[in-house]
Amino acid sequence: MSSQHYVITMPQLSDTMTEGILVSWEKQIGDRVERGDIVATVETDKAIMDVEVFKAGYLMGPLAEIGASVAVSGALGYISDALGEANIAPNEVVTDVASTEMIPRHSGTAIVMPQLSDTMTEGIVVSWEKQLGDAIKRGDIVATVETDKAIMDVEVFQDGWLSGPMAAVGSTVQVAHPMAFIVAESGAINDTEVTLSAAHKIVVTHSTSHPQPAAAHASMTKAVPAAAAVSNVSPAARPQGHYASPYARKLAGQQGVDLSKLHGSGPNHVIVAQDVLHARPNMKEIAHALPQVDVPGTGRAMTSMEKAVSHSMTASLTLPTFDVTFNIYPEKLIAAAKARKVSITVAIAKACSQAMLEHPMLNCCYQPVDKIVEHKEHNFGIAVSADGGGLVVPILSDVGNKTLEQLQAEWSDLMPRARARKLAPAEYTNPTFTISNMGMLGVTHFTAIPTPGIGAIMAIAANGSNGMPICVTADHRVVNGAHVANYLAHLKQIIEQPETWMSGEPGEKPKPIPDGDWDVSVVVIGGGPGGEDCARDLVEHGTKVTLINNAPLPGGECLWRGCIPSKAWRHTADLLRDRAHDADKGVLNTDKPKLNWPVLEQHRKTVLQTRGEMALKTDKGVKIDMREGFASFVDEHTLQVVPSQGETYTLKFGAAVIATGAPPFIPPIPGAQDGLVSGGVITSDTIWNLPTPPKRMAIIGGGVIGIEMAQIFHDFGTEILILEAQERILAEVEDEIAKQLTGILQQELTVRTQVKISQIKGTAGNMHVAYHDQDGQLVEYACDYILMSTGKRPDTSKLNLAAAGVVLNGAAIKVDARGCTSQPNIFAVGDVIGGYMLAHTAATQGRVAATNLLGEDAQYNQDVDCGVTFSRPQAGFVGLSLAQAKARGIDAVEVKMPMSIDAKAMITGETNGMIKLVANKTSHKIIGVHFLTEHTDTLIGEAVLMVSAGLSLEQVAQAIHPHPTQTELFGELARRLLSRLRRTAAK
Amino acid sequence: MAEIMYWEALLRAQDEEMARDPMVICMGEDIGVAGGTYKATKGLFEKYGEKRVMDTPISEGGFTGLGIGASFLGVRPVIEIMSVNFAWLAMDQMFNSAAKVRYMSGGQLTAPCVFRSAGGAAHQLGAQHSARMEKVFMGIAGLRVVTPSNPKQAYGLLKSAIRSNDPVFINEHELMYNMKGEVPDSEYLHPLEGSEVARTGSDVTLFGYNISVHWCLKAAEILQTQHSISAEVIDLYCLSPLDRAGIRKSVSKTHRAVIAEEDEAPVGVGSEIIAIINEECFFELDAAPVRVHSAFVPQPYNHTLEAAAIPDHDDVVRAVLKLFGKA
Repeated sequence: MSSQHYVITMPQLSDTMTEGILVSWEKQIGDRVERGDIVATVETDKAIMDVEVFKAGYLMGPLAEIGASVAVSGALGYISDALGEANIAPNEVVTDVASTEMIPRHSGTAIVMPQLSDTMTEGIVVSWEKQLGDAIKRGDIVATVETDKAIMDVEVFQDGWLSGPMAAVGSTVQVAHPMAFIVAESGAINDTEVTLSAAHKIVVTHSTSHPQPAAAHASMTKAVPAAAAVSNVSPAARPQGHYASPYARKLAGQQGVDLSKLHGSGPNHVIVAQDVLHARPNMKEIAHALPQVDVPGTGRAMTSMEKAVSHSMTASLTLPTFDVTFNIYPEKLIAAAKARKVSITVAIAKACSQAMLEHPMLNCCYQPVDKIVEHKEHNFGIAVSADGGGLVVPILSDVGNKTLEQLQAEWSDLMPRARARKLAPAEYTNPTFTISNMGMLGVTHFTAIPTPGIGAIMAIAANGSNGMPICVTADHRVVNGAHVANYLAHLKQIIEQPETWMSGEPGEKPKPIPDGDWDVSVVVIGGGPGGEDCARDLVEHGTKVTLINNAPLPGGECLWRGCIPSKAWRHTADLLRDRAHDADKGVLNTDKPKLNWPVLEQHRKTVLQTRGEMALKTDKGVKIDMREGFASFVDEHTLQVVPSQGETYTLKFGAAVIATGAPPFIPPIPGAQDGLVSGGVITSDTIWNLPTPPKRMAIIGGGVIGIEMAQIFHDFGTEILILEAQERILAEVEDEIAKQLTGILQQELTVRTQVKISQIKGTAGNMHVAYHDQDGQLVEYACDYILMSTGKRPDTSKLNLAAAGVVLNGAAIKVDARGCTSQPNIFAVGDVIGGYMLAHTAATQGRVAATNLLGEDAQYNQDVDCGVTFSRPQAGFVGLSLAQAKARGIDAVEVKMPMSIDAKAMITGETNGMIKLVANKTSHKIIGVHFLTEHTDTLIGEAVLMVSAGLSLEQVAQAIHPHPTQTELFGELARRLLSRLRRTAAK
Repeated sequence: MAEIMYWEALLRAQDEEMARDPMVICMGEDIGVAGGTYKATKGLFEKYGEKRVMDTPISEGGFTGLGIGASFLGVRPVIEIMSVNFAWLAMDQMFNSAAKVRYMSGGQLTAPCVFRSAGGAAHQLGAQHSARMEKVFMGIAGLRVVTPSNPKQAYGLLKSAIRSNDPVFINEHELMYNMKGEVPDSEYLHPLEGSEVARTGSDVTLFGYNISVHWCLKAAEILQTQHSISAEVIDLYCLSPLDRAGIRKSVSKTHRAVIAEEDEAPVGVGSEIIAIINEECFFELDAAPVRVHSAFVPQPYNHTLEAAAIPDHDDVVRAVLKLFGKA
């Protein structure tokens, strides 16, 4: 006949205790155990306790291992009524639970609740007259207790020290149960924060007074087989009727989740770990699980918004919250906000964020189970009443990192949409802190309810004579009272002294044109496209402008030495060049064209003069004070001007714009400077005085200017040699386009790359250039002239910029995107600031500077700038290349079309080149277009609009382009790229 | 750190070891005068001469046996078998002699030899030149099996293998010889056992080795960017002995496992890993492990069929999505 076995379970000390760690076994397997014996000690979340059993028998294994963590009601060991094997077998039936009790270990002598009358069964602790750790003398009154009849003293009859655990004041203790302990040595005082409760009893007789809650334990004997009880892993049993993953079972075992009640979300409805972790009821379930209260009447169904509020408010009942209120005087903040043209709500949100920088706990929240999410971003929900009732909480995101103006702009956008309940989910989901302002409704004080997911909510009441009550209701699991108090104290300081963190004046920026007794509001130095456009924009808005130009007529390099004269040459060169192909298209006898140089030069000069005079007339007509001379700075408001005629004078100005351009850069090649003096070396500045096209010309520098001149003179009949130090020419042009253009150029010109020029000598008409070629061979080339086109570099040496406090960046003047130099009233535009040295770039920058000088805000954005190289075919770009886009972190794609497939190109025989289009893969916005075509100068217009207007591929694909024109290619490109993107997305 | 190709890494390892130890020799078909089918011995013949860089007849059983026999006497041969498909002929020597001699002689004899072989399917070489055989080698006690997934491992594992007193089989891949990767400039010995976390993740572990590590990494990227699934990739560069602790550690973290192998599934690497997972950490599994593997057919020659038979990163992505119930 088999013996009976009883399981010794982990007792529960308090409601909070879920598990205990086995510290020691006080009995060994096989030992005889009597009722009331201490068999083991365990460590709980609060103290080390003894485990006492109330069943006689023999201790049997398997025993829980020392150090093992055992769940409450889990098996520690077994008691059998007969001595048998050391361990009970896994399949043996455990019939019952051996009653266990936990008592404080080594507690000393108990001070028990005295029975002060026959009818007294329990008493309430009213006060402790001695504190924990106090020395106690026999006869001391240590406490008072309230009986069913009166308040009585509790006297002790032993010397020692008062030791814990102690029953809390106000707690009820049964007669003869301990209230506290007396220990004989001060070192033995138990000062752990264990509080005695009704659960602890020192009981004289154990026999009948402690019926075990049978329900909890009855199931244990079934659920915990002996073998699993001692393992660290105790997975929950497989649920009946459906499947659970092993890990889900392990988690369920650890967390005490009942798998049979879960719905499986895994494949084939298997219960997976996620289901166990989310086994807690959701908000709706909590709301519906509330006790049913009979409410008379016929209820209407809640709207979904009402339901959402109801459910989350019910769920918020699970938050243990507390309130802290401060009265804060907001007058200064209100004034500062008004001055800054931002709403009070925005200003308060920003103030809350400022304070939170030092009190980040307020931005944290509790996450089940037992985790805290420490939010970095300040995403503040702001409670708003929706139209037609209801509550919405739009989020001002990342308040900490945004300026008041940005926040105001965001709020102005959010607020009306919130009222109309038109917010996107991201705009109201997961705030990190919430602000509810009812000040405008006149409330004197209120508290708000934080919802699960935030740690604290702020309630702002109306401003009164004692200030504005601001009440924070916070989740005590996340923050303590002192956190909130310190936060509010800091917030009070921030709100009451707004000048420490927000400047009040809306026009706080210094005026770009300071007030003063100036001769002229703005002086512009330089009459090229940058200076002229800037000056015209300023006068059009009523600002007085003096423009000082180094020549009688405006226009600068562009008109006199750059774009315009070179295009006059290019046009004639085109006529000569294109005649060569007339025969292919059925026109005879035009293939021997001849250049008439004097006529061309006369034509060119007439164009320049006419255009320059027209410009001067216009400038004067719009009342720009046009003066000729050379300017240099005396200080940041004074200019010295050396006029072309008359005395040097000074000019007091409010603001200045420097637009002095950049001359050609001459590299330190031996003989180059002498050549410049003698006239044998020419630059883009001095090429305009040639008596006749040279027979042979060497061009040093294969950049855009060099290439344009090379082809022009090639068409004029000059033999050209291009010498380039770098590995390739056209370094500034997009890779693929440069490569193809180089290929075309090499068919008509001699291009030598990777050369090292050693010497230049000779006189005009008889020049020699010596260079080491790619292989290091010394080569000498004889020619009439040497064109030095090695780039341009600003020269500010004569401006005396240091006197005005204007700082350089290399050779160029350092400016921000607004064109402002290191001196707030001095701007610089065009070639003198480096970057793209192009006329339209300078003009754009000139207008940007003017706008900023007029007090508005404008920026030059190089990413949408453009340019055309007047080679044949013409290279051109607008916006970014694929490489540039990628370097900026844009996920970009490119599509290209060779011109050889276009019928119009075939007709005219202009099949060289391509068009490339670069777009943002995500937004489909076109961010760059690149050309190598014969008509880039006209085709690029549409591309400029695409990029500057931010058109999408769809818009260009859908636009109707006229047939037969090459603009159709844009639609084709867009459609092709869209099709590719669709196909790759489908993959 | 220089970026070099996989074959260059193998070459550098052999060159360094041959320079360091005169007992290290190379043997195999076309490895000498021709420089090796995969260039792994390029220039060694010129440098070390015909006695140390031996061109052998097309007789895998013969020259492998010669090398193993020499290794009993202290020579350290690196034996290249051009394709693992031809290794069947040498397996008797490898398994019955090299793998067992240390045990059968009570430690009096050792076989410190290295077998290198291209073990993956290249393009359209037909069934007899496309089989994978790592499953056979890893089932033989007494033989170490490693399989480098990148040039750094190729370099470090080959060097360690040459210095090992156990016979080591190095499973390479014909498609990977031109793969580029960083290899330390200074000498580097890779441990012959263990595994590497090639990418950390939290939601699922992708086990790969050799070429399938790269499918796993690519799949992990797609899973992260397109499906917000964080995949951990474990590179099992050592197939024998398998890193049980590493496998347990990662599965205990992610609770889900996918094993990607180029080979057919039965009795394979995936089977073995799943067995280990069951033995080591069954209760950490939140879903049944999934294998990604070749179709169970002799490798087709036809291009389309071949591509259909061999898995890739997309198959890994699909397997993971299925595991999550998303496909």
